[in-house]
Amino acid sequence: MSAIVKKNIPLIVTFLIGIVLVFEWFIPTDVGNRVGTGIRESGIIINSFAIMAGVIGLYLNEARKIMRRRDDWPYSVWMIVVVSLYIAVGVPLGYQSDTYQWIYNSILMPLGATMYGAISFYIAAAAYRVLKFRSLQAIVLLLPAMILILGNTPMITSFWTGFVDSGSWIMSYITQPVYTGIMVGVALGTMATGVRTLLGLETGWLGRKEEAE
Amino acid sequence: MSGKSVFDRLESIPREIIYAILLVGLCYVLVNPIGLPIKVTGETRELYDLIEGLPEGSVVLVDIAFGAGGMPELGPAFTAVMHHMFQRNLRVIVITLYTEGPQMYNILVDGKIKPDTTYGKTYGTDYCFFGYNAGGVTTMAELARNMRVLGTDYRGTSLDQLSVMDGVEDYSDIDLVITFTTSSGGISSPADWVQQWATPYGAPLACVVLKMMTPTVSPYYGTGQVDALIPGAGASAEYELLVNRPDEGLASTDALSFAHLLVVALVVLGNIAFLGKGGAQRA
Repeated sequence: MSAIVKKNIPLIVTFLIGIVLVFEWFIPTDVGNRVGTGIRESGIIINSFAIMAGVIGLYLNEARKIMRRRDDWPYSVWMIVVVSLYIAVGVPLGYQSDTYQWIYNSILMPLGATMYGAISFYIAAAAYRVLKFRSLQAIVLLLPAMILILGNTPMITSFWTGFVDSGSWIMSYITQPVYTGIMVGVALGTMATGVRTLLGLETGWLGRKEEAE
Repeated sequence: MSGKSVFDRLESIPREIIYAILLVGLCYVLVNPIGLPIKVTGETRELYDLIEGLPEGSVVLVDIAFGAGGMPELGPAFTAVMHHMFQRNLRVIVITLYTEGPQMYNILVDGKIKPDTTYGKTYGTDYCFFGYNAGGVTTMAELARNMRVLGTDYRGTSLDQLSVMDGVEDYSDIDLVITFTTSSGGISSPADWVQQWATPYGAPLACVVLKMMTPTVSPYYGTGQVDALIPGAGASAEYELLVNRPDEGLASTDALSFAHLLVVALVVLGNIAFLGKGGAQRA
């Protein structure tokens, strides 16, 4: 496929849509608003189609792994079985049907909750091994960690709120400013990436570099 | 084994032992709750007061952005807050941009809260649910300008036939947005709501998040872009107390305390062993 179709046209479309939406936001007009709404609604529809494309891509990818007997190919078989089962039940019966609900509540719910719950076991073991007075930096990590843990322990806070107050102070005067700094940095990076994408300098989203060029 | 000192043993407790103590302890306190009193924190009270301050008939947009993984922590908080809104006779519009959202709605609203039987509410008049909407942040941005983009609810009923949506055209008709989210950077994250609703339009926003997410959302809370921020763990129990609906949140409070105290005890033991072995000098 020529570079015009694979690279130039997508870059022009991106530039035009980006410019229209930027102007719509900063210089509001009725026409701009209607165009902006149309673009966003198109985006929602395209997104819905992208889910379907994703499912097809998933089938193709997993089928390829099975045919080539790649590592862990049995998991690919399981993936296809589960996705097919959900489609077979969900499309004709709907996600509110008892069968669909049963599959979800009996398989996915316990698995999801177990995965999340298992984190507590790892955290307990990791805290025991890592949080030690090894150095000044370790102490700086250890003391606030203990204060925050105790401040979030209902059995302690129901009798004494000192840890809650100390924890709030740490969150307000240490954590918040640090995260704010990180977020400002991320925002500046996002803005720079946005401008580069509009100007066609950022082409990673077009696919692999050699394909885009 | 005979050559090992007490400190050596304390410093090398096998992880299997730690897992076993945690598992047995959690099971025990879940089956035999101690039922210690709970103190309602300021953050939880803030969300409660925010909802309490809304006049009857106010419109609240509720966003479900959690699935099976986040259900144990956010499920109880969602249930308690929804109870509060139904008690206050607010108009509740539930949306989800999260694929598992519809399942959560089915389990928690239809299966557990049951607004029709519990509060005499009518679907379509007092509350409604729009099912899963694709598009993520694009949909969120468009909703702020045009709520009618939702089209039909999850049963296929046209939005025009849902009286709960009467007069709800855009962000200015929504009195409060509450997002229950496990997403710190993906679909329906608090940052998305801040960027698409709270900052450009000044929409009141409350976030109920996983405990471990609070540091990432707290800058928005500190600047006032998020009006209320509560974590699911712990706060759900407090909220259940506030709305007089004791449930899973309160039942899990002792488990939360036990797990936290065990971690503290393990850290103390580990440090006693470390210092006992002359760790400070080595360091």
